[in-house]
Amino acid sequence: MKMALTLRDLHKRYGKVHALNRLTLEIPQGVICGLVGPNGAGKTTAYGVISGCIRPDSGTVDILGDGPFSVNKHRGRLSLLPQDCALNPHVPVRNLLIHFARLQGLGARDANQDADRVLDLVSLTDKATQKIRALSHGMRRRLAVAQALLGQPELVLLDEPTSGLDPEQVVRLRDVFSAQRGKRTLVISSHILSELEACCDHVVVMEAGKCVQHGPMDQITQRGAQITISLSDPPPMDTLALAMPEVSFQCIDNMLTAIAPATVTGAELTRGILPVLLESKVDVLEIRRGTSLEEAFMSTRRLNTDSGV
Amino acid sequence: MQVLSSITHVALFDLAESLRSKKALALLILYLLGSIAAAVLFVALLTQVEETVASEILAVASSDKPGVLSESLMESEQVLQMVTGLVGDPALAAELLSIPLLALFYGWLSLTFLPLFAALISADTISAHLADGSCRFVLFRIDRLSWALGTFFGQAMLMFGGIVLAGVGVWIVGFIGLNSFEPVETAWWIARLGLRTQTYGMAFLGMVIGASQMTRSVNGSQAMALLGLFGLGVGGAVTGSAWIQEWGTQWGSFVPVIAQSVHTLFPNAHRLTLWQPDLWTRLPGMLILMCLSVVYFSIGHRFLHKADT
Repeated sequence: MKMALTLRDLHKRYGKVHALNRLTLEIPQGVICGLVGPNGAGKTTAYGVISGCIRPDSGTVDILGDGPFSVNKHRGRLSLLPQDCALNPHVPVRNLLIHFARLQGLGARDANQDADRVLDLVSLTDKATQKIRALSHGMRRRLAVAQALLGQPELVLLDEPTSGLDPEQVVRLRDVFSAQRGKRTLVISSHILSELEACCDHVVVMEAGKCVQHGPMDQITQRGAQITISLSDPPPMDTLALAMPEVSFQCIDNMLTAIAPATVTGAELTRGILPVLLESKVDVLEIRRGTSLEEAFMSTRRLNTDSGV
Repeated sequence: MQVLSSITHVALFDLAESLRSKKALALLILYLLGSIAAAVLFVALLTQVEETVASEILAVASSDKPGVLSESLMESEQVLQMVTGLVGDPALAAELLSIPLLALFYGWLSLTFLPLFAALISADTISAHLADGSCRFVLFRIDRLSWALGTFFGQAMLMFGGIVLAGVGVWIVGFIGLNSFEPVETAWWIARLGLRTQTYGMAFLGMVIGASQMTRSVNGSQAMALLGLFGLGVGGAVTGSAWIQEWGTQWGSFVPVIAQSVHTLFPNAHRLTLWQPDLWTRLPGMLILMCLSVVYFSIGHRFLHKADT
């Protein structure tokens, strides 16, 4: 599998703070990857290092198989939506996009057409001639997303793309991102994990400058190996353990969680548990496969806190 | 070609952005009004001097045509000798006296105030983009040097706009206030002196943009630019003074030689050269000024090149 991004032992220190602490990870080409982590985990620093804005103390970066960021090699192939960065307030929206597109190497006609295309993607066509200072915070954020989608970038780094957006725009942008699957690699950092869960197929969990977990979304959220069943009464735990000895069961407040080893598929798990519950006359109120990304993230955090990461 | 295209795009965008900002517009208007006010004062002073000369020295009725007497005086042998004594070069003195009085005043005014104008208008050009992070939208599209050079040329065009505006303002004052005014010749000289002033201003602009690249603090870069202006002024005056030539010999015969060499590193060492009538006499000074601009710019760029943005 070709990698869009490979980071090895990246280290960046600000005084005594290790913003990146031997960060190592790989993101395959064509996926939409969610980058999650608490504040100060090093997500923004990682984006800065990848895009060449921040120089690492040590470690290596490989972008699209062409080594660390270099304008000559990655111009127009890598795109970035930085976090909390101002856009030139006095410039009309469309002019700014055309300027960025021209800097990216597009000709005058292509730049004009592409500016219109991305404005339409983020629903800002009607604001094209307005100056940026006249836009609301949410509109500026959408404009920042639009500039990241100019041209045909192969790797797009999006730092908190939906912060400050209304729910309708969040959904719209999610659709925009989902439509990029397979065409380009998107790395999206966000604290709204449900949003990432809805559009990402790959997840990287960062903490204290390290990657503490990464892999496909199904694997991180254990969609194939865990089910959670909401019940009307306490389940027969002994019978369940006898019926499926290789599965680990846990029940808190009539919420049964079953975690299977890799050898048992999600379907097998469901087929094994449900007959036992029905036989013991316990009503099944809700079944959910896997955990939410939020639960998976919190569980990873708890594990790391316990192990002192 | 790609690099040149990027630099051109950034320069034009920077110029447009500066013109859209209230600060640059306000400074341009202030520079224009200042030039007009200074020209009005100059014409008033000229009128007063002529009246005094006419009534108290020549004992004739004062002319109702300001400028006529002064123009006649400028053609006298005594004035030529006096100016030759001041500048130490008969050819230069003759050249200075052949320039229309108002154009001469415009040249002096521009050479004196343009460095301050450059410091006020351009000192935060790059630091402001570093401070608000807007440079991050650009620096994955083009390299840092192209960005900084583009900004430099954008500001150079803005400075030229100031020179042109001031020239037009001074010309209008002369047209209205001086009866002996020769519109075409004065305009021609204002244009010639304007171009020479631009060369002189480029050295200071190099220093100012250099300072702007050294810090992400807007106030810091403005303070550095003003300090740099002060340093260049004082350094040039001290190393070029007759005092250091006399005093330096007490420490050794090499001191005046070193002082003279160091003096060439300051723009004001080449100020008088810009008035020389012969292009080939002027050219070395102009080239040194351009080189100084590149050196000052490069010193600042070393910081930007290494910095995290």
